[in-house]
Amino acid sequence: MKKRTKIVASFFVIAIMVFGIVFYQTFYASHRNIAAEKPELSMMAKQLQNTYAEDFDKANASYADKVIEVEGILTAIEASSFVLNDAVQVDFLDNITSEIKIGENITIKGRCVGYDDLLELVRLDQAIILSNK
Amino acid sequence: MTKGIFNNVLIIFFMMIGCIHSIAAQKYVEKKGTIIFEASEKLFEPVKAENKNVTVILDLETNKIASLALMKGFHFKNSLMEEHFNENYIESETYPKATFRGKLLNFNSEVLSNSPTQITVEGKIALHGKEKEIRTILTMQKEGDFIKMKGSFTVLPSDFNIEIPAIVRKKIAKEIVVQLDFKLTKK
Repeated sequence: MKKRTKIVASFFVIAIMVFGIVFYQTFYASHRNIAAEKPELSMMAKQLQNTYAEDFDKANASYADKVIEVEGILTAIEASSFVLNDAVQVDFLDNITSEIKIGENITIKGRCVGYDDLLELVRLDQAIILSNK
Repeated sequence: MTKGIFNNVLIIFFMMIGCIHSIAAQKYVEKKGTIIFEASEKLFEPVKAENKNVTVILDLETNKIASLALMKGFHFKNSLMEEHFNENYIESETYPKATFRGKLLNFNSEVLSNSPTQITVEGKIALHGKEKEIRTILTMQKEGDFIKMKGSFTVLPSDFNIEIPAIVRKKIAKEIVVQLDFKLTKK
């Protein structure tokens, strides 16, 4: 094979590979990994709920889809979620194995999904526990 | 001294109110209900999403039922599809939630038992700034302090003013099948 043919052939192979990778990454990009993202905001559970209850649109614009660090007192424990200060419902991906008790102070981070005005709870999902003191 | 007695009477009074309240308001609540919708066409990538954090409240006194699903809580297998769903179709920034408000027809909580019973529900779905009347059949079942509810119905994107661009029309089914699966707990 001539040297030129080789160069042309390898150029095409590389071009196809690059195209393939770009195509794949665009159409089959992986989901966000909330656990690996740094929280953009940090606030108390009650404060987060108040902001939503006062001005829904404004709160939604600033919090929805963002990773938020939230601190509060644990008021309910369910199979795979916590409620902080009866104000924020925190949903975990897996069932809870931690031995945190009701009444304890806890900090979590999660993605803000929005505000549930039936139960008056802000919802966070894909949460992870940061600390409890 | 009299103040002490007065306080005790007050406490008993409020406890009584609390008791009456809990008897009267027979509410069942679900916070982690599942809604799945699918608009897949054969030979194309499945158009299917699931929300596992749906809220449902059932009041057995009035037979009224209310449900809420946050749009950003719907997850697709394909992240790009999820992005398009949020940004181009459902516009979840502007319309962050879907709600249902309705009533169970000819319903009495005593008809519920361990075996599944079919109950008709009628109400309005509000989504993407539009409302639609809906009537469907739920399969309900009572297990101790839980009421289970399952059902499915179809809707059209046009019911809610959602336009499907011509370029993807072949890949998205005309009718969207919505499935629900709730397990409500007595509150």
